[in-house]
Amino acid sequence: MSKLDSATHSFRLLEDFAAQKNPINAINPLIKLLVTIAYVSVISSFGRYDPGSILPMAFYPMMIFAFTSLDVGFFMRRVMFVLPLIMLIGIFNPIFDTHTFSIGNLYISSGWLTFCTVLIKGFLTILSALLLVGTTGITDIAAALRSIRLPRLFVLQILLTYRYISLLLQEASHLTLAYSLRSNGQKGVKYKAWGSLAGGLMLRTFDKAQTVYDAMLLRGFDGEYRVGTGYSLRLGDIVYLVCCVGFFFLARFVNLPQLIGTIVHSV
Amino acid sequence: MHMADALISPLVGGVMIAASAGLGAYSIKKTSTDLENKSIPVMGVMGAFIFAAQMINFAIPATGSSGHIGGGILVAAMLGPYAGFLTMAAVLLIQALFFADGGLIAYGCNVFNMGFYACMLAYPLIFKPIMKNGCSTKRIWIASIISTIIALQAGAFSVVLQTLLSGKTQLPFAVFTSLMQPIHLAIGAIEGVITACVISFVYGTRPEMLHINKTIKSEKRSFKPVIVALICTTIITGGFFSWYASSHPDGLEWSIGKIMGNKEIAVQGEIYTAAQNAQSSVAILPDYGFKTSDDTPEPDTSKANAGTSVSGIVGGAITLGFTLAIGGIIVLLRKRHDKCQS
Repeated sequence: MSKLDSATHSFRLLEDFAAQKNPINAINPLIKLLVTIAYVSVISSFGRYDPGSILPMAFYPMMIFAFTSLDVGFFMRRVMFVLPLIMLIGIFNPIFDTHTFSIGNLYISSGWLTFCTVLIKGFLTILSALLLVGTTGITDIAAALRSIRLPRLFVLQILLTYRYISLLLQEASHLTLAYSLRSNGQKGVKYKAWGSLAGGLMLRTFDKAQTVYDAMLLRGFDGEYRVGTGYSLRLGDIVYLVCCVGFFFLARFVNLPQLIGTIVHSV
Repeated sequence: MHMADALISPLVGGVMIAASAGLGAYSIKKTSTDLENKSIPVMGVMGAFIFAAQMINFAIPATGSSGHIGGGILVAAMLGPYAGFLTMAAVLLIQALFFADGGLIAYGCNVFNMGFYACMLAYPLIFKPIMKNGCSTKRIWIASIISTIIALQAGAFSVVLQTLLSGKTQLPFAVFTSLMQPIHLAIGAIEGVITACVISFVYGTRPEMLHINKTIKSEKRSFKPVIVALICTTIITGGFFSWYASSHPDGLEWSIGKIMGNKEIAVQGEIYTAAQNAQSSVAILPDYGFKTSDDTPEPDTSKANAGTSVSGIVGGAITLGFTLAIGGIIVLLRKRHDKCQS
């Protein structure tokens, strides 16, 4: 499957996940957005030299997987795809960090601790963003952004970009397939065709934009984004927000693994 | 160049989100007044085009490798700087949500690094001036390559600064910079060539679509946003970042300390004493902190921080005022010179 087709497939899968009926999907999108932002912020604030203290934060994505029927393999593959880029930055930490710590008689560079921290943080933050889309969907996220008074132009921009990505990915896929069938097994687009291939796609884009605008006008578009079914704020949503954010702050300020270890050790 | 959340602290991420939000609000204001609702589907579809174009691998001759465009200069060349910035912001948000290409806390950093430098600096300050005297294929090539390279160099350097300020990597500044800049020089050159090819193609087939052809009359540029941005940056840098200023000796003091055994060279002579006395009586914030008498104990950290912040803001205000004064004098002298000549 080409990169373009894989991207189209990912969009469709995430939309299907967001359309499922389960307790997490039914929560107010604004609440889920706030919880995700709080989650990512708290994880980013953890110190460098204690990767173990971040581990309790994995409870949140595990809970989401437990209450929904999301394909764990799909999300793990998407995260693993991006993780090597983070490893590339963190891999220098063991070399440049001159502090050391000991496990028994073994002295190890503290850079390995910071490397593990960066990896765990990267894994959890990337997963949380994907889970937000997988449980909410871009239309509801846009409604949540509009409800907190984000400018309508930007919200419309996000929605229209999203809507027409799949259309343009199809066009780009057809163009590159036609090119590859005519290029005798060549990899990538040759230099002489850069301008005409991408430029041709762009000109089709502009013509499509004119057609889209005319269709929108004929259907009563007046520049405002209107949400069909609104989400009301229920008691369950507030409880969800308080419990999640409360747990995040508890895990941040109390070293739960160490506490559990101390209790178990004393018993 | 997409930064992940693991590399950014909430503070740096928050500041960059605020900066990007400010730029976004300004872009929305400019786009709303310049264009009608018709621009919205155009921007949306251009965003989708940039997204799709980033998925196409362009084979780089003689290297066996391939690259893809970022799209900042391209989208600015088609839509203008403000609509281009909003388009890049939307594309980056979708990439962050759907493909985890860039984090949520790091979203502001990514928008700034890949949207601001290309659309709001390189395009109006490099691309447009080169094309000022009319479009031609040669000018498109020169403008595209230079503006893309500079935009990517600035963006890559910003990545280094934001990562180091967040304290998430032990990589020294020099090593990090020496890794990032050359790679992005190569990437910028390739992207510049691809951008030039695309814009040349559009110029050859539908030249009226280029934004540069829609803004033929010279614009009266207002410097108010630039001045406001400079003032805000000065206050933030002086008032906040100065807290993190190192109290260790700088390079010169360190070198002198190693040679002389003391970071300051003792001087003798009446003229030096007079100068020192004059300086100590005038200096309102010696060593960037509040003056303390010899009898008072060492100030605690919060007072030192408050003193440093006040120093930062006062120093910044004085520097800005001095710069504006010099600028004003130069403008006056030029006006007088032009009057004499005419």
